[in-house]
Amino acid sequence: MKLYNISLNSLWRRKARMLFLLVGLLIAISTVIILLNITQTMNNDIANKLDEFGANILIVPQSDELSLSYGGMSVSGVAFDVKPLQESDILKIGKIKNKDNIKIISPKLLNVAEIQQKKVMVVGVDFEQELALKKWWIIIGATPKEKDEALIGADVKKKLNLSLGQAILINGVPFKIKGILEENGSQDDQLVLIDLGRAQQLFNKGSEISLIEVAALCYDCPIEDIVAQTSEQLPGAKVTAIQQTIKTKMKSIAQFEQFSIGVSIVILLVAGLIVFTSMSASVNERKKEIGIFRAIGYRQSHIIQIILQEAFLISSVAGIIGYFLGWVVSIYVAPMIGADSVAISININMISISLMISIIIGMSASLYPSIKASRLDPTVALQSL
Amino acid sequence: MNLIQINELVKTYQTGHEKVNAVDGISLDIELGEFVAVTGSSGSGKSTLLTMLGGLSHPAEGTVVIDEIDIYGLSKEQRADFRKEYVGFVFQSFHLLPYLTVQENVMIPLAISNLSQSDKNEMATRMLEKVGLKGKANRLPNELSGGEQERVAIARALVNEPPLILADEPTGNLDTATSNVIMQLFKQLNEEGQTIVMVTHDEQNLEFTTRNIQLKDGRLLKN
Ligand SMILES: Nc1ncnc2c1ncn2[C@@H]1O[C@H](COP(=O)(O)OP(=O)(O)O)[C@@H](O)[C@H]1O
Ligand SMILES: [Mg+2]
Repeated sequence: MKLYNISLNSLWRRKARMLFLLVGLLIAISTVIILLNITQTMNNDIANKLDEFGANILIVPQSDELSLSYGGMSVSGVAFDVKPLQESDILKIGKIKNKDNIKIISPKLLNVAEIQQKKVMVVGVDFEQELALKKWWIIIGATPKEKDEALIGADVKKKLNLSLGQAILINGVPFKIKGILEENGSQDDQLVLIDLGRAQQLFNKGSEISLIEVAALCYDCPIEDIVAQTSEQLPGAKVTAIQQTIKTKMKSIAQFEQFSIGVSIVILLVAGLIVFTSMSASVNERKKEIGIFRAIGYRQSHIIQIILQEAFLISSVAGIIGYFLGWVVSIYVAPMIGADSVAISININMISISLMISIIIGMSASLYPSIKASRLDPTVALQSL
Repeated sequence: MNLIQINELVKTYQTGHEKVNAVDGISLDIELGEFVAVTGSSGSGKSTLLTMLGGLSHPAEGTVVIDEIDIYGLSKEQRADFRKEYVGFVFQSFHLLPYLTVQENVMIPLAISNLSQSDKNEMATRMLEKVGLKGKANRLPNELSGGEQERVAIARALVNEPPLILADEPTGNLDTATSNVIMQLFKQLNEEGQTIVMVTHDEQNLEFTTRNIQLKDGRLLKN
């Protein structure tokens, strides 16, 4: 038998005594774990969902005459005195310093063409990149795979009375309608999309492109850095950052993170107070017991050791159970706040953090009560001696 | 040979604004192998004298020398070490720890020593055998009768083999029959050479002891 056997038995055979302390510590630790898990999950989630937010950088040719507006669609072909972008510019974007932060590069060629005697905006795109960028698109039918297949907007379908699988003539060249975009209220409803290479052929544009949309994500560098690096690579182009929902979202995550830290500190302080009061009460109840130890010849340091060992055991248990409790709750809570793309897995680092926080709080809040216990006068403690 | 030398011992308690000399100038020698009964009416200072003998309570004046050690000349922690080596206490209300088994209670004094686990177990088992509790090692104290609990307390006091046993009314909570059995046990220990100082209010117990000291108002009435 050693001193830890005394601590262990004291806890084990009188479980109810320390239950309040254990539960208090447990709730505090699991709350902190929930907050930690959720902030981390929100950060991971936004990285996963980056492409759902669409492009955040727009590259168009430099022009003194007109402001080229993608939204207004009055764009290309009208502008003159403009040196258009080339397909080779796409490769240049891939050479910037923060190239790893660039997720999608979607080039476009815009032209006005005639279908059934009506003027229509025809856009040549790289379908793979474009669909990655427009995650919210719902396509009836399929995505065009062949050069002579087209994807048309809902308004185009209505106004020209077209249907899936139908053949159309664009500037007299035959195409087949492979897919129709479901109405989404944006300019996309007005477009006819075809393969970029085919469009360049059709409109005699060589390897020209009208604009490039880029989706980039950078946590620790501002989007403006990527814009500046891209401008440097493409001196003849105008590179602009588009204000975006992702920015607001990242800001709100940062705010939540600060809030979590604040709440965690308060919770841990309260937990420390709970440990302190229950340990002090426990020492008071155990005066007689401490008197027995002292009479038998235990040193003050032995008394401190017994009590701190008990604190260590309880806080270790609270730290481990608290982690798993927090983990389970986070799994349910994270989807409720929209972070549903990331599975919250058991994390060894987090278990150690949880254990460490719990032990530090449990032990430090028990230090004073244990010292007080060790200084009790044994004769007072053994009044009935 | 003198084991204990007490010289002009005084203990003062402050109650309110009144000072009470619970022990009021006692000088006394106790030899190795004696079985001393300390008697006297309630409040005469018996328990106070015993705690000072055991190094638990600092006297206001005077000295306690045990085995040539002036125990109140030691530091607090040294005095704890002294108690561990020299003194086994037996209390009236047993003072067993309710969350430890009989065997574990007996081993409390050994928990702070460096002996091997098997040595500790062996020593505790031997003591339990000696006090007649061989089969009850794994019981919890509240599963035992009063007499049995007192025997556990005695085994715990003896397990370190201390030169001195100090007992404060060890039979005070027991019926006459059980009381006699316990006194018989103490007598047997004394016959094996154990020095015992026992506070008692029971005249019957005096037939087991080798010497009687009587206190009145903190002074020696009879030695
Ligand atoms: N802790 C204490 N504080 C104040 N007075 C005490 C304390 N302990 C004992 N006394 C007093 O000292 C006197 C002797 O007490 P005690 O030694 O317990 O007597 P006994 O054991 O002979 O009954 C009593 O008057 C008692 O009230
Ligand atoms: Mg008394």
